[in-house]
Amino acid sequence: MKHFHVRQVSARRRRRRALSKFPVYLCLVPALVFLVVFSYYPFFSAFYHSLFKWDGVNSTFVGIKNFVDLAGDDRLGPSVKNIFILTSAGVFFALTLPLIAAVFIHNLKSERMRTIYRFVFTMPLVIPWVVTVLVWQFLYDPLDGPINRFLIAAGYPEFVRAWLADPDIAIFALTLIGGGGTGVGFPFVAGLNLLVYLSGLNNISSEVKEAAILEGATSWQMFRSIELPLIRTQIRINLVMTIITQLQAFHTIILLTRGGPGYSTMVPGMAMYQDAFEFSRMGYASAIGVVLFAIMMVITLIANNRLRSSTDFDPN
Amino acid sequence: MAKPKPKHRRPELMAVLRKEDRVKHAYLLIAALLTFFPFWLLFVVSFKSLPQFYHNVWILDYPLHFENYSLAFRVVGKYIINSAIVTAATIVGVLFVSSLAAFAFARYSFPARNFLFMLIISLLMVPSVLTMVPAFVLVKNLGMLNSLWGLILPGIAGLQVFAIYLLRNFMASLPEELFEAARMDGAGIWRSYWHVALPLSRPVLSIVVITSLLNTWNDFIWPLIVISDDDLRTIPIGLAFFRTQYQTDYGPLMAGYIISLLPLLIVFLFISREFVRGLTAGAIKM
Repeated sequence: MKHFHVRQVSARRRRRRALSKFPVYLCLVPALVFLVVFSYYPFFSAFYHSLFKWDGVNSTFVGIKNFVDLAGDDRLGPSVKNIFILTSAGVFFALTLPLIAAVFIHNLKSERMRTIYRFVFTMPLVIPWVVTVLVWQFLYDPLDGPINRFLIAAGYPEFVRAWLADPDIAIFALTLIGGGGTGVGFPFVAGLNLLVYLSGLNNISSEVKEAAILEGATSWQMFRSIELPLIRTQIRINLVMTIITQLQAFHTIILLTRGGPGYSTMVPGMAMYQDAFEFSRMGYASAIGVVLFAIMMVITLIANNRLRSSTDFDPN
Repeated sequence: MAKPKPKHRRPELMAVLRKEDRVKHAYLLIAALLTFFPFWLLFVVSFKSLPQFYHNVWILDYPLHFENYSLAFRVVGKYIINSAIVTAATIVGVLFVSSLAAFAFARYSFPARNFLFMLIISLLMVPSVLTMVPAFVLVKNLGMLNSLWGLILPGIAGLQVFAIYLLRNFMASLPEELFEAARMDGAGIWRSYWHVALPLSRPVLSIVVITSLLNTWNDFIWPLIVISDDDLRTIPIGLAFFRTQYQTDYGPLMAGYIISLLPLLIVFLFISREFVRGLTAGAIKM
């Protein structure tokens, strides 16, 4: 009798526990619906359709033909060259000028000036980057643009160029504008990179720095032996963030040059956009996306393994 | 240089630092001037008539043509409203969906919890360039092309990933006693979500709001392919279209740019501290 009673209680408890789990699952339903419909379905669809000739409605299986065609695409050469130029320029600028600025701001004596500079250099991030890009288009305008007007007024008409329409210099003119999104453009100080460096510098314990100061370290020694090693994580974050952003960026290019003149400013993202939305070659576009994704994964993995340091923060 | 005399070290060091601060200020000021110079030109030209523009582009001259602004606002105004609708709806959606899921992940154990969480977190590695084309076809098939829903729903899906990650970590760090106390008072799962977890997570929720705000407000490529009706354009694509309309009518064109950067700038002026924090947290997600 007693035995039976216990079993009954535990059964009821089990049922109650199962019931009490129900609201927990209910909490997850909206997130999972969004996850499956708008994230995982397109993710797998991209891989699947990269093996198809696909116009968005009809699809025919073509195997790896899209990838083979990709290797012979006229736009491949220019795209690789341009993405290399844009990414190297982006990486170079992300690792130099904002780092110097961050160290300078961090070591300013006046607390208030530190706050002011951080405020000033964050502001460009809230200006829609489309506005920034369009302003640069205006600066570069061959006839009405301030750059050429300045060159003429200053007596250097021989340097006047059609900055974005000259196939030899358009891609270099674009490096000054940046990829859009991270707020990094000439002079490359304001933006996310700076904020990331600053957060790293802020995490350095003041005891370490005080000890160094008491030892009589110069600010260069301080930078070289304390600050730089201790913000390796942030440098890695900026490196990976810049590469990933630049590899897929075509925001600036679609607004200003659309890959032209000729293919002189073509990048992979722009080629993908053309194929998908101008030529209705969605399968081919998916293949471009798959290749880009693979390259990004490899770069991220290499960066995370090679540059991992003891100061990495553990998310959990 | 190491200072030989310990006695004088401190004052001397201060002097060196102060001298060095001059170099720092010089560098930072030049960088700030170069950063904002294009926007100064933008500001100046927005008040000019065309003859004034061709005469001088560097400084303001009178009369100021305020009518450039009323002209531009007639076009840009509706873009701002569309952007505001999309952004507000996306933020509300992200907050709701991600805080609920994060709460479940953080405070309850259930079968497949870690698996489901990994399933969500893995998406941080998936770039939009991979999913853009199939997502477009999906939205088209769902009949959401050329509607604001086509921006809002995929927007929520994209932004919830990082939000769930941030919120789960934060909610998991909250002390269990608070939830225990709520349970003692007879609170069920909904009330401990609404009255305990949500209010305590306010600092992280503000990060979610700011990253979602900036991402949605600035998004360009996705609205460009989803929206074709001028009345539904958001600011970024609206401006690109506006530019092709006004070509060389620089005064109203620049006035339009200024108008469209004002809303976020004003928000920023009020809560710049939260912006700095939110942006930094958003950047270090990798």
